Amino acid sequence: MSIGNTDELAFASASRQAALMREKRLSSVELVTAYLERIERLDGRLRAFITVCGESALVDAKRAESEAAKGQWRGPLHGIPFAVKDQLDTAGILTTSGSALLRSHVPTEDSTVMARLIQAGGILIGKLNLTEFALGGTLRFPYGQPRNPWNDEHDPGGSSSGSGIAAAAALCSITLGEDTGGSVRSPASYCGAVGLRPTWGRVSRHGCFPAAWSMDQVGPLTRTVEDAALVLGLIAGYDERDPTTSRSAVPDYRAALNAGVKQLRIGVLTELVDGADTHPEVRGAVREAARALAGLGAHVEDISLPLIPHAGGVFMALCDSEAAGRHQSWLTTRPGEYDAGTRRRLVAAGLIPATAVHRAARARALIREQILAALGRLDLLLAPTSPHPAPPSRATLRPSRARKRRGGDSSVVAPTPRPRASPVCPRSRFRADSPRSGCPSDSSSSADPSRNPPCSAPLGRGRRQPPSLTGDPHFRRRRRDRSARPIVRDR
Amino acid sequence: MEIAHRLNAFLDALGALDGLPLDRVEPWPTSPEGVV
Repeated sequence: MSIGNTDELAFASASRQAALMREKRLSSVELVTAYLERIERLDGRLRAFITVCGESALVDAKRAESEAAKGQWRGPLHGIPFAVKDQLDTAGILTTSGSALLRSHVPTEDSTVMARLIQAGGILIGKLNLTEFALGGTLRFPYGQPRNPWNDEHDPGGSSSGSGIAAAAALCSITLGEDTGGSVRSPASYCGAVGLRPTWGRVSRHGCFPAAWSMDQVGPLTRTVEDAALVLGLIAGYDERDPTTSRSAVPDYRAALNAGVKQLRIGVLTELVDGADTHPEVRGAVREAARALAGLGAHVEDISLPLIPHAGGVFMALCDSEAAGRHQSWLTTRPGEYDAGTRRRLVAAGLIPATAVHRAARARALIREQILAALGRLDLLLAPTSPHPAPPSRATLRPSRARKRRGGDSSVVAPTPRPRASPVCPRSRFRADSPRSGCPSDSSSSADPSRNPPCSAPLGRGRRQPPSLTGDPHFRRRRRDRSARPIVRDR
Repeated sequence: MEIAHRLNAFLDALGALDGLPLDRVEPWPTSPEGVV
């Protein structure tokens, strides 16, 4: 095996690991064992996992190894360990959606995305932590406080917190999350992973506990853009069990990565990049990414979408009212089993007048119209995922401060149910020549699906550096040592 | 108190929509193949 030690092996991309297996230089048992050792050593502190499927993963790895020896390959993920957000059903395995209400819930059927990764040869190594019911605002996590692997006193983002942590800290090869208003993109941004929210309808939600049906979408969180493209290609496509899935053919997203960015038309969204709330470091990172893209031959220009500042309020009204409807029965019969933060959020949302919700739905249509008009002449919209770097974790905040914390900008795209937009959180901030951090994301037109992750190739292939937080001594210390990977304290 | 505060925040955010031409569009349900 050309990879020198277990850390190198753990941090390698899934694409690289799969290639090594095909070359008979790496075995699935070796890989699964390496990740189980890391989980055992690190996850007591990080709390990325709710359930670890160590025993079954090793059984599956031995089977994969035996099949490989006979030249029988199930698919591109043969023998590769993955983990999924605990919002996704897994047959025979506890699936809590991050809530004490579902502490004994064991589905009898796999979610479609889970089944597709298994069919591709993947091995489930565990279920990942999340904010309660993927709603955000959880005050006390029933399965442990998830922590940012770069600095465990800081927020890892959410709601797919465990997915971001596990990808960034190399606790498995690839992960799946779910994004309603930023739940894939936020943890990807805060933890330094690649996060992709696919176009609505591109990926089946069958077997995914709903947060808000009109915006939910399952997507990958990985260490490389190539892995995100690989996973998207596997989970995308029509599913008869989800009537909202598209029948459009699934292109080869990995092959599209080599297309480059020349002639690409990119709009830098000024409301989010230059907004008063945007941290200077984040603004600088996005502007730097824009310059890098221009340097590679893309046409970059500023664009203003004046309705964007309304998107956060519109998203919250629609998401929360949909969620309140879904939870009404449990809120009546089992209110004490909810986290206090979730309960308050849902009860308040249940009191929003129907006329206000209807107006929010109309406003969503207006915002969608404006975004689609922009994407009629542009291929991408470039904007930060969050206006600020990862803030201190709620666990380290006083309750009054924690409640006042604001969300990110990811919800901008979420209110557009069919926005033909695929926000990505490329790891541009990990370029070796940049001391800056920030959280750039981009929304690409998928009118031509082969261009779905077009700017990810130049942005995603840098050497990693830890995200920095201006003014934060912990992050400054980490930056000075120029470590290429999160330094996680053993428990 | 917390719930009232949150509800007021919702209503404030939605109140900001008053100046928009909301009657110009209909909130059609979306189709998996694109905007209706």
